[in-house]
Formats: sequence, structure tokens, C-alpha cells
Amino acid sequence: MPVLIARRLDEALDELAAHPDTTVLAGGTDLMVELNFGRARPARVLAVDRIDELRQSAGGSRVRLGAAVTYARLLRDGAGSRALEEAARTVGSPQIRGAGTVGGNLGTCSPAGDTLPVLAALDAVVVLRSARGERRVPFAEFMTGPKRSVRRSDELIVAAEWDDAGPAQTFVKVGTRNAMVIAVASLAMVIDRARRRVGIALGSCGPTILRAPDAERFVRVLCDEAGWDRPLRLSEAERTELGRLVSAAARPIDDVRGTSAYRRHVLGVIAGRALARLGAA
Amino acid sequence: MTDVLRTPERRVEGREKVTGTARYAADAAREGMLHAAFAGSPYPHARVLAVDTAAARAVPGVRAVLTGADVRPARFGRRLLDWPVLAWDRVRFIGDRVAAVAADTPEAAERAAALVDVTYEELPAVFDMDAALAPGAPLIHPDAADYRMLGVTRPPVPHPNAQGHQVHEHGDPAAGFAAAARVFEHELALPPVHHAYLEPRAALVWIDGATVHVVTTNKAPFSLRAQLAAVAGVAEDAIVVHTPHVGGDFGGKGLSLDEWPLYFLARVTGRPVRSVLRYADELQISNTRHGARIRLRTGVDRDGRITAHEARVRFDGGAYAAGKPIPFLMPGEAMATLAGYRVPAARVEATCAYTNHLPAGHDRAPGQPQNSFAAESHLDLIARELGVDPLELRERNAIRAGDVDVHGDEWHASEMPRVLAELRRASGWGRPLPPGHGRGVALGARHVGRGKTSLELTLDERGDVVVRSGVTDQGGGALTMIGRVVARELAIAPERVRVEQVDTARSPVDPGVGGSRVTMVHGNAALDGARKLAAARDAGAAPPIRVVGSADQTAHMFGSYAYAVEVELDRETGAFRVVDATLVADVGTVINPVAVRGQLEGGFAFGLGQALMEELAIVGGRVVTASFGEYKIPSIADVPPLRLVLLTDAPGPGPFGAKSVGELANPAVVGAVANAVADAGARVLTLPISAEKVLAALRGGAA
Ligand SMILES: Cc1cc2nc3c(=O)[nH]c(=O)nc-3n(C[C@H](O)[C@H](O)[C@H](O)COP(=O)(O)OP(=O)(O)OC[C@H]3O[C@@H](n4cnc5c(N)ncnc54)[C@H](O)[C@@H]3O)c2cc1C
Repeated sequence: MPVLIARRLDEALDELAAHPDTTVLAGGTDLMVELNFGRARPARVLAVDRIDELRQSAGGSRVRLGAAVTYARLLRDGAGSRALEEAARTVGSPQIRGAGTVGGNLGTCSPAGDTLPVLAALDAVVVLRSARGERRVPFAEFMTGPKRSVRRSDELIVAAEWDDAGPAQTFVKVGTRNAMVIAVASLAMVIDRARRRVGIALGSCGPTILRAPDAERFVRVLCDEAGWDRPLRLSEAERTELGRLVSAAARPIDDVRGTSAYRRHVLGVIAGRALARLGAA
Repeated sequence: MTDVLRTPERRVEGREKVTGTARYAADAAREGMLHAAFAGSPYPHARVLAVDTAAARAVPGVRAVLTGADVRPARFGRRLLDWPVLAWDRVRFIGDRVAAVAADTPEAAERAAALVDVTYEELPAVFDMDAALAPGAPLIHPDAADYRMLGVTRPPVPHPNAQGHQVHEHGDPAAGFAAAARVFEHELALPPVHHAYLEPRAALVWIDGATVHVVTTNKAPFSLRAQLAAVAGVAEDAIVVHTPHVGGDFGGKGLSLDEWPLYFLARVTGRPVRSVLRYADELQISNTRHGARIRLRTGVDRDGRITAHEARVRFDGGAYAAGKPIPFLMPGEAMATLAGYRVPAARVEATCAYTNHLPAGHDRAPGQPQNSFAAESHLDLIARELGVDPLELRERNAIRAGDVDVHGDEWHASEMPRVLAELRRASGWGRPLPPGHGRGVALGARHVGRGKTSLELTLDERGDVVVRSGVTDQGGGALTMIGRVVARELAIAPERVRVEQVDTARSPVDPGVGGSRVTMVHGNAALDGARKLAAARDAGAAPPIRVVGSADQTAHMFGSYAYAVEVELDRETGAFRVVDATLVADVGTVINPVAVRGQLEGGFAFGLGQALMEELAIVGGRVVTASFGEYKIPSIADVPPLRLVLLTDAPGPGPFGAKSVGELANPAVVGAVANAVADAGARVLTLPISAEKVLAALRGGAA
């Protein structure tokens, strides 16, 4: 199995163009599991974790996060999104956070990928590049199913980009233990007070990351009424209604980690809590 | 010199382990070694009609492919030989092996194993233990009458799908129930769980002339030797078993799986053959803790004192009884439904059923967590019904000297009342709790280890001692313990005693690690040897002085312990955290202070896993939690600090008054947690206590 360790982006893109059967390797925390269980037998491997351009990030009002930035780096240097940092903190263990990358999370595109609800709620754009050029795909269009995306085999994920949404954002994950856990359900909520935008996205609750548009609309109305730059005090009835709307947006299944009924219920609870916390801030 | 036992021990194998130089069975290699892989059944129950190995044999690098026809009639087991080395006529669980491959590389072996083409005819499968024991259930072992039993004759069973069955009765249960002010009945259930040791099984087998060599993860090398002699039809002294470091055991490593086909592969190829079990296979085919369904009925007088007790215990033994070493073919403490209590009259019936699940076997305090979860939940429910504080109810029923226990045995001494008094104090029992919190108690008792062994000790000119023992060290600190016992008795520094673990050709027969035995048995043998050395030295014998130390530990004695656990419950999601825990344990004299703490803290975490999250989920006979991604054990974030109180002044039968701790304190954790969650508002009657079950219980549904 030939392995190319790329140092430059163009070199990597040429390799992908020449060999469409190449498997990209970043931190390997998903790929090596696939290899270990015999579910993947790559013909060729291209390692992208040493390509400088993929390791660079930029802050400011438009945030750009390189695909090969590890969770550990992102937590040390800041991610330009508080919710993304919260999500990164829940990923795996220190070892996994030291190797795993956001690009890998996007590459795997699991409905349980912890950064994905955040990228969805931020309305992030996934930047894809091939030797033929660059495509910028909104996250909602990027993920098409469980472990399926619009990425073509000659494309690399180079970065994710989004508008800085301010401090009112959070990520909540429910699992069956306190660390090293695949989410039973997760939720990202972003209240961008400056842009008057609300994003609510759900993980582990359907074939893709799901947005909860009715719940987003409901929160927008609440913010309109309260004033976007004012604290939002949530009544019990409003909290319940938000929970109902979020639960209704989910399309969960029954599996060993939990039943669909429990997932719906718990999503409603964590949505209410998230809004109570963000609104008060 | 200061007392050796007062200084925390240094593990004799510690340096090797932390520097990565320790060698395990999977590291063993020999010139010309082949690698094994296996083909297993995709069906939980099926007839094997034909096995075509042509494609497998054609894979480059393949040296041998064996099927059931090549090994027939070889079956293996620790006591009952009921598990075919390779199935020839019938498979009984998903993963049951039908073919074995030896090849130049593991990859070639795997590829070939996947190409073994088996024609099956599916048979009706039975997964539920009660269904298996019902009249007319599909028979899983129609040929059971032909099976061999090592050392003893097989006790009769009431149903062909029963592995084992026991009934105990003492006192007058009918009169006791008639005299009771109230009678309570509850049923509880637990799924199978896995030990989750770090090291998967591994073995290397080669045949050198007339001698069969086995390097293994089996923690009882002499037992493996006896079993292999029976399976292979060779003399015991023609087999040498080498057990290097064992990377965790918890009872699971007493059963060998790969050694049997490796023996046949080594014989046909004339080459050494090695295999390392994939962890997915550990979780799918190795012996688990028995799943159980337990119904308890107990009568109490007006003060909540037990007058009579009745129990019906069902264990899911899975497809084979091979993993169980005790003659009754049941988990060791199958009958201990109210351990640690005074039970004036009881009738206990336990049955272990064959099902088409993966085989169950021994796991740290076999049978006890199941019975403890049932009993401690049951008594807690009784306390709440009676309006008696749960700790108070236990204090009233705790066994005291002169009382009989659930087995009808009289205790001549009991630390249980003291343990509970200490628990009340140390846990701050009764202190008001914040809203949303709950507090639970559970007690437990376990017999100290029994058995006999010998080991050799040599005192040299410098006054240093070498001990040679056949005992393995699975991480419990056996070798360190032996060294410290000798050092203390001879009043020399522990560094001056070297303990060598040697293979079965170079050691007196040894029972291996298990049954909480090592400190009691090997410790006493070490003490005996040290005394003999001292006597010979004092009598003027010239070094090197060589003696054999022996012990036969038969004393009947229990260690007692109790937990108080506090949880914080989220009523909206059902999620809860264990926020505080106290363990009071009656451990006798402490020889390895660090290891005693490690065993008790580890036992707590072990039990916590079973309480909170561990479940080998099996759907239609298939284990669906076949990796540590799905089969969850606690992380450090799930384990609260444990307040540990040791009672060391009630001596046990071990060296200097030691008692056993290895399996002492894991069983009652499940009950303590369940009771704490119930105190916070949610009674859950099945393990694990998931947030989802808690939420259902909070809403008044069945959990
Ligand atoms: C023990 C353990 C715990 C874990 N816990 C969590 C958790 O809590 N939450 C969570 O979300 N995930 C978890 N994971 C999964 C994994 O760590 C994450 O998905 C991680 O983000 C993957 O990143 P990576 O760099 O290791 O990806 P890799 O394994 O290197 O790659 C993953 C996939 O993405 C592709 N890929 C990687 N980079 C690119 C790129 N730049 N362009 C195109 N394709 C690319 C690869 O080809 C591959 O298909 C866990 C994994 C393990 C082993």
C-alpha cells in the first residue's frame, strides 16, 4: 500500500487527480479503526496532516479553520467559535484530541460527528479543492447521508469557514458515560445577536445533521420580542414549546445507545436548557 | 528493622511493565512460527452439513486447514468437556468455530478462514433461559450423555438444557413465611457483561519431540495442562505450560479457547502456531459473566427481621458449560441470594441454562453481583415499604456470631455489625442531602480463598532467598506478596527475596490464580517455607538451604464489607452521577497496602461499570456491542473519589492474619447504586441503570 506524505497542497491535489482511488489520511482516528476492523483496505494513502495550508486558521469576523487542525490545537489556540470548542472538548480522549482533526470529522461525515452540528448551526461553508479548482459548499449541502458527502474523490477538504457569531452559542452532548463516548444525541445552538440569526442543529438524531427550522423561527421571534441585544428570560411554557419543536425536528432511530423516544425527549430538554443559558447571557 | 508490612510495596514486576519490557503471551515467537485464524458460525444454532476448504487451502502461504472432522471427538472444558474444538455436526452460537487455518502470515490465515465454505441447516435457537428450560424446548446438546467430566461425575440436572442445578433448604421456610408479618416478592434481571481486561487471549503451541509446549494467557497453567492432556490424549508430564505476565484476568483467563485448535494445527504442520484473539472475538465468543433473572421472596416480622426466604435464580450459561470449573457447573456463588444476612429458614433453587448465546464463565466473584443486586434491591424495597431506614434494616438483619446464613451455615464470628456501624459513621449517613440527591447502601460478604499449593525456597550464603512458584501473576501482585511474606518472616528487606514464576515442568503442582486464593494459599505456603528456612538456619544448616513450603487452606471464614453511595439525579433526562462513595471493608492484616487499595478501588470501579453502563447486548444471538466503542466501561470521569475505611484487626486465615480482597468488594456496588438512584426517586430493576430506564421509572413506567 503506497503512502504519500504530502507537504504541499498542490502536490496532494496532483496525487488525488492522478489516483482517484487514494484514501486521505489526517489524524487517522477514524481511518485506523476502519482498517483495524477490516472495513477499509485502501489501495493508496495520502497523508495530509503536514500540509501547512491545511493547518492554518484565521480569526476575525470571518473565521477560517484549516481542515488538518487538531482538536488539541483548536482548544489551545481558540477556534473562533465557543460552541466548536465545547464540542472539541467532548471528543474522545486526550490522545484522540491530539490526533483527530475537524477535516477528518467532516471527511467521515457521521451523524454523530461532534463538530458537525456546530458547523451546521453556524451556517459554515466547507471549502473543497481539487487540481481543477475550489468549491465552497454550505454545510447543509455538504452532508448527504450517514457517512456520505458531496466531496469528490479528487477533492480535499481544505477548511471550514463561517461568520463569527459572538458568544451566545453552545454545544450539548448526551452520552452513556462522561468521556470517550459517541453521542446518544447532541445539539448546537447559535444566537448571533449582531446578525439576528438563530441556528439550531441536531446530531445523532437522523441520517444527517438536522436543522430545526421551526425551533429556530420560534427563538427568532422570542429574540425579536425581547430585543436582540437584551437578555431573554424564558417562561416555562416557552421552554416546553421549544423542546417540542426541537423534538419534532429529530428523526432518530432505536439502537443500543438509546431509543428514538428517549432521544427526542432528551433533545427537547437540552434545547430548553441551552436557550435558557444563552438567552440569559 | 521496621516491619516490612508497614512500608508500601514496590511491585516486583512494576519496572518491566511501566517500561514496556514485560513480555506477554502475544509477544512469544519461535522460529518457523505460523499464524492461526478461525472460521466461525454466522448462525446461533445450525447443523453443519458440509465444510469445503478447497478455496482456503489455495490461498498462498496456507499450511493447514482443519475442520471438525479432523479433531472429532475432541471437546474441551474446565470441568465438563462440552465445547467441540471445532464443530463437526452442530454449531451452538454465533462465532462457534468450524475451521482453523495455519498460515505463514496472519493476513493469509485470515483470508483463508474467510474462504472456508460451510453449508449449514439452521435449527431453532433459544435465547431466553426460561424458554430453554421449558418442556419441549429445542435441545442444544442432544449428546450430553457422552460428555466427559474431569475428576468427578456430573450431578443430575432436571432438564436436558440445564447445565447445572442446585436446591438448598434449611430451617422451616413454610413456618417462617406463616409467621411473617409481611411477605415481599421481587424479580430482578442482569445482562451478561465482560471482564474487559486489557490483554486479549493469546497462545503459542509447539511440539518438540514428545513434548507439547504452550505459552498462554491462561492464569491456571496446571489446570490447562490437565485439560489439554484430556483433550489431546497425551500424558500431563508431556505438556509444559508457560504463562508469562497476564494482562488482566478477573476470572476470564481461566478458560482457554485457542490452545486446543493450535495444538491440532501444530501437530499437523510440525510448526509452532500462534494466535492472538481479536478483541471483537473476546466480546463475541469468550466466557462472560452470566446474565441472570432472579426472583426473591422474603418474609419479615414486624421489625423487619427476616423470618424466611425463598429464591429462584436463573443463569444464562450460553452454549457451553466449558468455562465453569466447579462440579455443579454453576457460577460459584449461585446460591448466595442474601449473603451477609441472618436467614433462619430458606429455600434457594438455582439453575444454569444452556442457550444459544455465547458461553458464560467465571467473572470476578462469579454469581455474586447477580445475587447481590437482587438481594440488596429487594431488601431496600422492603425497608421502604416498612418505612424503616435502609441501613437500619440491614443492621437488624446483619449476620452475627452464632447466626446461620442463607446457606444454613453458622458463622462463628462476624464483623458485619462493626462494618455497618463504621459505614454509618464514615459516610455521614442521615446527613441531609441536597435536592435531587439520593443515598443508597448495600452490604456484602465473601468467603476467603481456599486451596493448597507448594513452592520452593532457597536461602543462599548471603542470606538472600529465591522462591520458585508455579503461580501466575495476573496483575494482582501475587509475586510481590509472596516476597513480602518471606521477607517479613525472615526479617530481611523485601528486595532480598526474589520470586520466580516458573513453568509447569519446574514447579510443584499449583492451583493457579482464582477464587480469591492467592494470599490465603500461596501466602501461607510462603510463610511455611520461610519458617522452615529459619528453623534450618537456626539449627545450623549450611547454605544453600532448600525447603518446600506448603499450605492447605480450609478455614471457613468471610470478609465483610458495605458501601454507601450518593447520586445526583437529573429528573428531566434521567441521567445521574455518583458523587460520593464510602466503602468499609474487613480485610484483616494488610500485606500489600497499595494492592489492597488497588483491588478495592478497582473493584468499586468494576462494579460501577456493571451498575451504570456495561451490557453485552445480544440481539438474535449476535453480540451487538462487540467493541469498546459500544461496550462501555467507566472512564475516570465516571468514578468518584472513594472513601475507603479498612478494618484490619479481625484476623483471617492468611499469613499474619490476612483475608482476601480480590473479589471482596465488587459485587455490592450494583445494589448500592440502584438503591441510591431509588432514593432519588427511580427504582430500576434491571442493569445497567441507564438514564433512559431512570427516566421511565421517574415517569412511573416499568424499568
Ligand atoms: C477512541 C475514539 C473516540 C472518538 N470520539 C469521538 C467523539 O467523541 N466525537 C467525534 O465526533 N468523533 C470521535 N471519534 C472519531 C474521530 O476521532 C473524529 O471523527 C475525528 O475528527 C477524525 O479525524 P482524523 O483526522 O483522525 O480523521 P482520519 O481518520 O484521518 O480521517 C477520517 C476520514 O476523513 C477523510 N479525511 C480526513 N481528512 C480529510 C481531508 N482533509 N480531506 C478529505 N478527506 C479527509 C479520511 O479519508 C477518512 O475517510 C473518536 C474516535 C476514536 C478512535
